[in-house]
Amino acid sequence: LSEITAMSEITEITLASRRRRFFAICIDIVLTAITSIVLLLVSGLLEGPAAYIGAQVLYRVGMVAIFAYLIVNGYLLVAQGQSIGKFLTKIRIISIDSREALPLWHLYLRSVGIVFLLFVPPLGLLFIGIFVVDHLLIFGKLRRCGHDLLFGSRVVNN
Amino acid sequence: LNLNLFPPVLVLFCSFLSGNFTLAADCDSAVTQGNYPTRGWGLNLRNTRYQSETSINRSNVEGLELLWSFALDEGVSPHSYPLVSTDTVFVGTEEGNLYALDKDSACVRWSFKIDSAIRTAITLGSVQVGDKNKEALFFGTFSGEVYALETAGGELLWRTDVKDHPLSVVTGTPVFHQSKLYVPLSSMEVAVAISPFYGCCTFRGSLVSLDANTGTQKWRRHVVTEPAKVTGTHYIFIEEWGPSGAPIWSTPTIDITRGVIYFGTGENYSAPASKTSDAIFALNIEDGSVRWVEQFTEQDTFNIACSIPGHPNCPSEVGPDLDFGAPPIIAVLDSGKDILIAGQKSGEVYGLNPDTGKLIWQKTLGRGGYLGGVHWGMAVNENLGLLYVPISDVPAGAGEGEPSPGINALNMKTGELRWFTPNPDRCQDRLLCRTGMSAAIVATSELLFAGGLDGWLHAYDAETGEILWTYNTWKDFETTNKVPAHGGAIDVHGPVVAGDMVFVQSGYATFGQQGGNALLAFRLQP
Repeated sequence: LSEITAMSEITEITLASRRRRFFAICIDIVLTAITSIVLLLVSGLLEGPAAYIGAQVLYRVGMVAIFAYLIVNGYLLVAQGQSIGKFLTKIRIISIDSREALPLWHLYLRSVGIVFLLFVPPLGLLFIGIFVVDHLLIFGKLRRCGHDLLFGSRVVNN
Repeated sequence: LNLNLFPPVLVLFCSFLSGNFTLAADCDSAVTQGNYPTRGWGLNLRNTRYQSETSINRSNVEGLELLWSFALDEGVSPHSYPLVSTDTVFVGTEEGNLYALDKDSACVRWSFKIDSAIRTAITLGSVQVGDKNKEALFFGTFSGEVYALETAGGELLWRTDVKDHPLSVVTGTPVFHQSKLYVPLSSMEVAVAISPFYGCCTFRGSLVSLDANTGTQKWRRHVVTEPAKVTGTHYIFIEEWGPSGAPIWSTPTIDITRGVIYFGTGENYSAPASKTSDAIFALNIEDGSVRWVEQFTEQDTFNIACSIPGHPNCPSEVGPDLDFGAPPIIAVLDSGKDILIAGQKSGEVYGLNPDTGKLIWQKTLGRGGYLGGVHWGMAVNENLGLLYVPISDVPAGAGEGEPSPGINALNMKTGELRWFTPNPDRCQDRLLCRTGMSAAIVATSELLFAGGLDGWLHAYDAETGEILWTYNTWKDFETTNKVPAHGGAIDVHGPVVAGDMVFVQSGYATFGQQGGNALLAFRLQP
């Protein structure tokens, strides 16, 4: 019943199109990657040999990517429930229940929480596959990704 | 509460936590000590790879049949090389298991688990514990450590970290001689340099002498004498370092007569190039001081970053990557004089004066490349005065000319070619299949055993090069340990011959060959 209710609300407030969401995530990935590269260069986290023992590289890159996402998108997430990609494509994240912006920690975990899977030893790089499946759920009837379902969010037009 | 059980349970628990523990056996017979047809990688200290203790000859070799197969866990690139006693085969795996297998049935007498891949052959020696002399096994690991275990039950005698760089690995087999262990160090820094964020490179190859009784270091000789310094930067922040590299990939060679230990070195990883890369070293065995060094390829600076055009970690003047991957051989000529023989990835073979390192003869047998030329090891038959040289010549950074994969037999005294048997091209269009002869080989009085990257194991007539027996290992096997095993390329350390048996590991995927995990044992059938 709650899903049906949600669907009816979605039609009222116009869910963001898949195309807009795709462009938004592409923009976010590029900006986060560029920021991560700068952070890695400045910090020297991958400059020494110790970084290449075991899964250290994955861990360090994962940590930097999470931090970079916060640097790039932190302000807009707090102020408007948007990442830069979503800002540029004129869409935003709201709660499925209240139509209000999600709390910051909620938004943050929703966006980068998947990267923490890197730190679960049996998963490692499998997180890439999980990332893909998460986003392919957008093609479902609810037009919501896995992280939307998990954190009770939806992405709508401004 | 039974307090008597507490100490052993505590030891077991601590061993489990540390990742080192001996697992239960699945056959009840014990390891018989004291009689070993092989003693380590080179089968003897001179690395001749000549096995006199065998009943296999040219008239009966056709009777070799597969006796058993054993899955080396679930790896795809086993690097270990079995040590064979009268009744036991000791072999390591990528997953860090050392198995003591019954030679006849492959049931596991004992196994020992460590937390790193076992990368070397298993070397036989002894350790003095109190007033007891214990027969011991030594091996090196991917984590840059050396282990000593008791042969009888696999109990840990000692374990020591020989790294002086975080990316050091032990790929060359430690050699045991007169209560000392000589351990070569190479490095994965050559591959890590592919990260553009990495400040390449600071590793220096070295040979370490250990007290075999305790594992404590006696001396260390670095191949590149001066530590790396900052030589520049890229991407503004990343510091570049040099000189570096010149790893020792293979087992050293001991010349008891001269009191010398020889080894070959690899390329420099970063500029400036040193005079000691792609070289043969002769050290005084007592203190590690240098007796002589001869370099065969100058200015060879190379790392894996050079496979990507414009990579900042690739030296500006890229070298050809022509390591000495095969250990030198000290052999006795029919005149009674010694000769030191070295084979390089360039496809060239050198006969050297062991006292001075000066060149006696030189022969080019292949076009060479990153993966040989001469890759893992040669063999000699001193009775026939022949040196046997496998040539890989797979297309990898290849030199000029046509590839000539196969086995060459040279006159040890002059370098003159006596026969050449090309490896038959059985690959056709099979994916990952190559015709090169990359793995090390083993000679007997009448035969030569060699395996190809195409998965075929051959026995050659030692005098004529005629192929007398073959076996295709590139297939699936039912194993005694009930773990699925499949064969693939035969590479790295090659076959072992002992008594009436031949052993070989099949499968090796490190450089894009067909991987696998099969340990195969063949025995002469009456």
